[in-house]
This record gives sequence, structure tokens and C-alpha cells, in this order.
Amino acid sequence: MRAVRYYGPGDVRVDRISEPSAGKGQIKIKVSQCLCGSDLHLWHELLPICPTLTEPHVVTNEKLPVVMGHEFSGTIVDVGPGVDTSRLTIGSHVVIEPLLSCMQPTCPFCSQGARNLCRHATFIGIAGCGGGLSEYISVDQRLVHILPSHVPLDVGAIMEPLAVAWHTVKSSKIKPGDHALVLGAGPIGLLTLRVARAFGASWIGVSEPALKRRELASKNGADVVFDPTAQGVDVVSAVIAATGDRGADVVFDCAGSQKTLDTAFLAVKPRGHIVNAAVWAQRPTLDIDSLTYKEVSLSSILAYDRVHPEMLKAIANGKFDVEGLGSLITRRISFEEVVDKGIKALLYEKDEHVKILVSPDLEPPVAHARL
Amino acid sequence: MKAALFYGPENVRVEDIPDPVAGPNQVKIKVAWCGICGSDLGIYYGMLSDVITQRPLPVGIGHEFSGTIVELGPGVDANKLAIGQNVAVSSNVYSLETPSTRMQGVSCDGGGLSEYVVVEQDAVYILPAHIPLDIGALIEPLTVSWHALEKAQFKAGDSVLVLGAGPIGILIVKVAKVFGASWIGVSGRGAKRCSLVREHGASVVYAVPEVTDDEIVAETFKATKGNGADVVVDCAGTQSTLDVALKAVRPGGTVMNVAGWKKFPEMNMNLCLAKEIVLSNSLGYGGAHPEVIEAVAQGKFDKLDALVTLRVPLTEFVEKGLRALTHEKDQHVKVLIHP
Repeated sequence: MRAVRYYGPGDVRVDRISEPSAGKGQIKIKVSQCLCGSDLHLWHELLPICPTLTEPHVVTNEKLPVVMGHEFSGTIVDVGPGVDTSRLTIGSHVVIEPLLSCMQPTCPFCSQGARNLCRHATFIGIAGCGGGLSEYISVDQRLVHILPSHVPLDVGAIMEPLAVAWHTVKSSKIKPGDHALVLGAGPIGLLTLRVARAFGASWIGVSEPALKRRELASKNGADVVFDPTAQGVDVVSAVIAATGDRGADVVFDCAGSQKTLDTAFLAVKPRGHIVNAAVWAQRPTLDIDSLTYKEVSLSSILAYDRVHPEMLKAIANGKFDVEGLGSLITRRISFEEVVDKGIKALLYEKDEHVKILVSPDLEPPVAHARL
Repeated sequence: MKAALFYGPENVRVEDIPDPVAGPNQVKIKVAWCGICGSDLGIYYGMLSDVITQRPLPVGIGHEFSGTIVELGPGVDANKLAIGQNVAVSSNVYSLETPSTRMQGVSCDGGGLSEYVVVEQDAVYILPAHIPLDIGALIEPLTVSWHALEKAQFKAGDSVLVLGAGPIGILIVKVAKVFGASWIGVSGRGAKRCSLVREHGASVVYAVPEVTDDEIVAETFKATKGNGADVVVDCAGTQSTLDVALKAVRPGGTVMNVAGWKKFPEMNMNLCLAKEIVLSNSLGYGGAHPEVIEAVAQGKFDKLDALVTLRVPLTEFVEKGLRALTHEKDQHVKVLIHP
């Protein structure tokens, strides 16, 4: 089968590799679609969660190259021995929770279920065990979840980043009626906006420099959208005014810059919560005085912790509306276009794109013969 | 009456001013003892000017005090409060409706460094008869430490690394012990502070700078089965202590900041992300006064009197009190002033 594999920074290739089979406790999935891109950092540098060409990852026992892609959906085509077929049957549409961890009895985090905190936590599609940028993948049944029947498979590929947003909002301890500020309307910011509303936020402001992303924020339910770079726009004052002079109950930093952090500290209410969901290019300076005098808490999240079942249940019973989530998909490409039209688009045309969907079934564009 | 008044940086004078009068819902207290806080030093040296200048100068200072009720203003609940009762005072009149904090002895009328002070009736807590008034003056800083650990969700059996063995650090250690900590590591500077904090309950003391930051982190991992401390309390407030805190805390753990900072630090946000670290800040009391007074009354804290290392009359507040904390910092934990 064809698969997109990561060899190292700047080196991604479409290879032919053998199709996996469903081992003990595993499900074989025909991949429908996979999102490109949260692994963008890998284009520039190896991360500790990756193996190298010579050193295998301790959890997957695999070295580079590895199949890429951790945000995907698909259809079950085979079940291995020991699979719970009352839950998972051939033909079912499914999504994957790609979080891998050591699962050792001595690990307090894996033992308690908080696998994202395992010191060796990593992901399918980053450290091995297959990836979504391939035609087929075999996955441990514990990581496979049924996609609610009304959700199309392409939107199913968005379930993984949605789970990140869900975990982000849950950990903020937001309460119905709260006022929230979302900084950054990239994929995580937009999904956080949606989830915060589902959790009962009564007012959500979104701050985002890029026009297209601001438009998407409006479409996805923001009460007010700020352009922090525009003349005369003061996000902090506007938030204080919109919240009865108190400040936002919760601020989500989904952008990760000195500016957004500073804005967060000033816009949050005393004793409020700031949740950081962003990866940072540089270490910011902390306005520790604001934090201290306002007794603010600043937490960060990594991936998700036992979020998929409740999230998918909320989608299944209509509590969380996936209508319009497909608007986050700004381009559909083939395997062969992953680098030039996928990764590079997300790196260098950031403001034009949110999520790029890759289909194994899409043919690469045919080169026209020159006459 | 005599009162210590802050006129400006390094300009505190003990002067005669009219006695305050208890207005509606207020009580007048004859102050017995008032402790000096690190923030009082900050006020004296002009580092907390923003907070102070909410009121026209001069202002009374001192917020860690105990005393006896001598007058009840109109509307005070006479079933709860009576003349002659010994009390500790919650100095923080914190309003959630407005972001600003009004604090007795910092930004309100009158402070504890005076013979008499008037406070809101809600800010007054009765001291059980067997708690002496000097211990009563320790209730405020004990409550700050109690609330900080509560806010960090510190549970019995948890491990805590305390960075800084000054007065705050020592109180955090004492409260952690009462909370049932399984391990209390402390980093401190100076032989006297290190031995004091060991006396007050530290499981192990890391003397800086002889013990390096990397060693503190490594030792914390060793002591916590390789997971990291459940809670790290930063009482020192430096780039170095923040870096140690982020490395030494366990994934999902809380770094609790109770320090005053001289310089804004840089924050390793990606490490926070990888470990889902919570950075929390605590200044106030969280309504913990009754619980703390109860714990003291039941004898849960030992050697509280050993925390008082100097007693000074109000008239010598600057010359002996502030000076001791400025120039003989390492020798002292709590300096108590008596009007």
C-alpha cells in the first residue's frame, strides 16, 4: 500500500510498504481521510516524542522512517482475535485516539488513566505504530472509537483536534454563563470556541490577526471578533467592558506569543484561569505581578485525557453540533501533494488555511505533457 | 494614640494621631501585637507604591495583628462580638466585583502598627481563650500559607518542594506538616535558615548555592519515585527558582507562587505544556481563618512561639524592627511589634 513517511526534518516521501494485518486486540482500518499538519514542527526539527533513524522510541520500538498522520477517520475492514465485536464491527466508521503511552504498572499516570502525562507519551503517526497518511492501519481496539452515524468521515478526521479543544475547555473548569476569551483562531482556537459554547459560555470573544480566520471565528459562533493589530483596537479594554468590568472568567491562549500571554493576564478576571494550548516558539516573559495580585492560575494542556467517549457521546446525542465543522477544511489533496500543497501551505500560507485533508483515494494531479 | 505612618519610601514615622472611631458595622480594636511582613519591607523601600497610593498619604501600615475589642460600632452583631474579646483580623477586604484589592494596613484607613485600629466586623475572628495574643498575630501569615496549599490542592500524603527558607517558607513547611505531607524538601540560603526550617519540619534541606539547582531537581525526583513533587511552592521568586520548580514538579502538578518578585522571569511554556503544569498564585486567605484558628486551638501546630524571634515596641519599629529584617534577615523569622 502507499504511505507518506517521515525520514527526518525536511524529508517526507510517499513510499510503498506492506499492508498491516489485524493482530491480537487490533482493528484493521481502511483510512478515509487524514488531516495534514499538527506535526508541522517535525518539518523543521525532531522532537523528543519522535524516534531517530538509529534510536527506537521506547513505547513503539520503531525507528525512523515512520508513517505520518495522527488525525484521521476510517472504516473497519478486519478485526483481530480478542476484539470486542459487540462494540467494533466490520463496516463501522471509526476515529482513532492516537495517544500512546508506556502502560507499565509502575507508571502512576498510565495506571490512573492520565496517559497524556506518561513520561514516554507519544502518538501514532509520529513515533510509529502506523499512521493516518496511509491506505490501511491496524490499531489497538482501546484506541478506536465509533464515529456517530450522522458525522461524515471527513469531519471524522477533525475529531482528534476537537478532542484537544475539548480537553482544553474541560481543564479550564469553565461554567455555564462564563465569559471566555480565545486568543488565536487557528484550528485549535476555532474548535475551542465551539467547545466553550457547548460548555455553556455566555459570551466568547476571539482575537485573531488574520482576516480569513476572523471570518471563520464569526461563522463558528464568536460573539465578537477582534483584530488586535488594527488601529484603535484594545482587546483588553473591550473584554473588561464586555464582562461588567470584571474581566474574562477564562482565557484560552491558542496562539502562544508574548503578546497573547500579556493580553491574557490583563483580560482575565481576578482568580480567573488562563489555559495555554499553544506550542511556543520562544520563552515569554511572565508578568508575574499581574498573576500574583489577581491570583490567576495559568495551566497548560497536552493532547487529551479520557475525552473521546464523552465528546463522541455529546456529538451523538446532539449536545455538540458538528454542523459547519467541515468549513475548517480549506483544501483536499493527495498523498503526493502532502509536502508542497500540505505542509508548506500550512507553514507559509498560514492565513489561508485551517485544516488540509488528505485522501488516500485522491489521484495526484496529472502532469500535462508539454507540446 | 501612637501609630506608624508611611509618608513615602524610607519615610515612616511613629506619631501621635487621633484615635479612630468605630463606624457602622465596624469594631475598634486595641492592638496587642503586629507582625512585620516582607511586603511591609517592600512598602518601606518604595517597591509597592502602586498598591499604597490608592489612598492619600500618610497611611497606617501593618496587617498581621491581634488585639482586644474595645468598642462596637452601630449595627455590629452583639451576639457574635463583644467588648473584651481577643481577636485576630483578616486584613483583606477583597471584592470580587472590582479588580482592586483593599487591604488593611496597606490600602485601607489605619493599620495594625498603631495602638488602636478600626476594622469591619466581618474581618474579625474570635481567638479561643487559650491562644495567647502574640500567637494571634501569627494567624494572618499562617492563613496565607494555609490558603496557598489549599489552593494548590495539597492533600495528605502529597510531596512538596519549598523553594526558599525565609519566614514564608518556614510557615509553608509548618502548614504542609499539618496537612500531612509525606515529604517536604526545602531549599534555603544560610546556615541559620536551613537549621530553622529543619527544626520546623523539613524532611530534607538543600543548602544553596552549595547544592546546585540540578541537584535539587534530581534529589526531588529520587525522593518521589522519579515522578516529581506534587506541589512546588516558590517563596523566593527568581528565574532560578521558577526553572527549578517547573523541572521538579510532577506532570499535572502545581507550582504555587507566593513570592514577591524583583524581576519578571522567562517562562518555559513548552515544558509547562509537556507536563500540564499549573502555575497558581495565592495572596489572600480564601476564608481559611476559622480553620486555621481551629487547628492552632487544637494544638496541631508545634513550636509556633519559636517563630517569634524578636519583640520590639512600636516606637522602635523602624530602628529595631525594620532594621533587623533588613540587616539581620537570616537571623529572624517573625518580628512582632507591640504598641
